[in-house]
Amino acid sequence: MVALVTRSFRVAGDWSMSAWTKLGATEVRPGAGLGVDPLASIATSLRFAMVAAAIATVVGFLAAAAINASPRAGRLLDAGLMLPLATSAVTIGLGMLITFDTWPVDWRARWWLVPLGHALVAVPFVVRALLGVLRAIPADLRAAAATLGASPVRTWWEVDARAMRRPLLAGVGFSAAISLGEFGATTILTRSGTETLPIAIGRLLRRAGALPQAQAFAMATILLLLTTVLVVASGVHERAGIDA
Amino acid sequence: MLDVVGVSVAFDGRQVLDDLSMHVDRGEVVAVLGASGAGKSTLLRVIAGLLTPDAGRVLLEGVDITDRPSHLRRIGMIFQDEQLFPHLDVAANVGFGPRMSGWAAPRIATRVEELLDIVGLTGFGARRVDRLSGGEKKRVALARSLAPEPALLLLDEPLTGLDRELHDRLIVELHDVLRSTATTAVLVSHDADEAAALASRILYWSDLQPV
Repeated sequence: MVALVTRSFRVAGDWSMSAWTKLGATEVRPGAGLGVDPLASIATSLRFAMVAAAIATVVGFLAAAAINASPRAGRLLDAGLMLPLATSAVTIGLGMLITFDTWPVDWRARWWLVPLGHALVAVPFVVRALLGVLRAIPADLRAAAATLGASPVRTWWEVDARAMRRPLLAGVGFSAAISLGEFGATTILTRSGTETLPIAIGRLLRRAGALPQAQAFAMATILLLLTTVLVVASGVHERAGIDA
Repeated sequence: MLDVVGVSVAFDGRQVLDDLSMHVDRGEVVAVLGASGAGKSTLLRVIAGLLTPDAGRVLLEGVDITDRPSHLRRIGMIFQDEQLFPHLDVAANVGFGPRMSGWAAPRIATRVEELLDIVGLTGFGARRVDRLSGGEKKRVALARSLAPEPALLLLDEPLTGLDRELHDRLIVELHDVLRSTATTAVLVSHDADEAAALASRILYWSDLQPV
């Protein structure tokens, strides 16, 4: 990490801020394009991270609730949802690309295909985090709520949903962090003009010249900061005090 | 008040309750005394509506409640390991039942304060339940179960897991609370001394089911 930050301030062997100050530029020199807009890629990544986190959290929440409610049938769903963990993200991207390339589901040009791919990668983590909490709830805690007058729906809301609140918020943070750093599926699914931070880093690293290289390290530093903030924020909330 | 008539329950082919019957009058504290693993907790779960019997009926104040869901029975229960809600503080735990019954907030606050006074936990409302001692947790569980004014209170080995000194002290306190609140209660225990100290009548497990 220190190396990344340090290299972002080194241009052609000298200490320089130029990699940071020229992040907004899209040309290496007049007439020669950089091939990517670094600042726009940050905005794209943040937008995709929000969408991916929303999808992964909703799908993960529903899946965890279903798996917990029906242990036998849920086992199959659980195994199916864990598949993205056992396969390369590139494979997931490729699978999505060839699945969604024919009418009526020709969605290759849709902007949301990338965050959807990110969400697919993040869902297993959300499910695992929630299932751990749900399975740790003693059955008698729900029984206690019932004997105190809580209907089954109210019991679910007061016991299960309350217990899931913190891991769910942590899941939002981790899903967003996974989306921000996701490279494999994005490489396959991304379209020109919607490059994400990791894609922009890859493009900059492939450019000749000292400045684009240093800019890649500056972008990597930004990515590092963003994911660290998300992960720390998720952890802080998880350790937060009693719910109101 | 409470009639359990010919209740049978089997788990995986093993008969746990076999044609069991019992009667409890209003205002009584009845202890059901039997060995560990006999099926006493199963009996309480049938009465509370947490378990549907294979046969038999449960009547409360003459009304058949066998098929009535647990949350509509007005039967409170204290579990062996309290089962306090970890995400709620002491006051919210005690006020949970009244909140589920739709009581107004001021009435809930008054009831919570009253019950915390009764169980000797005045000023404990804002405490986290995971920071309480074993005895304090038992007291909160008692206050919580009494808060929605249940018609009947079930106590499943309520003083298990306490050291002897605290156990003996809580027996006296529990006895006083049940009497002062005129609570009709069924207590199951394997401890004859505990049953004798708390109950107005003792039923022996072997007498509840035909030989």
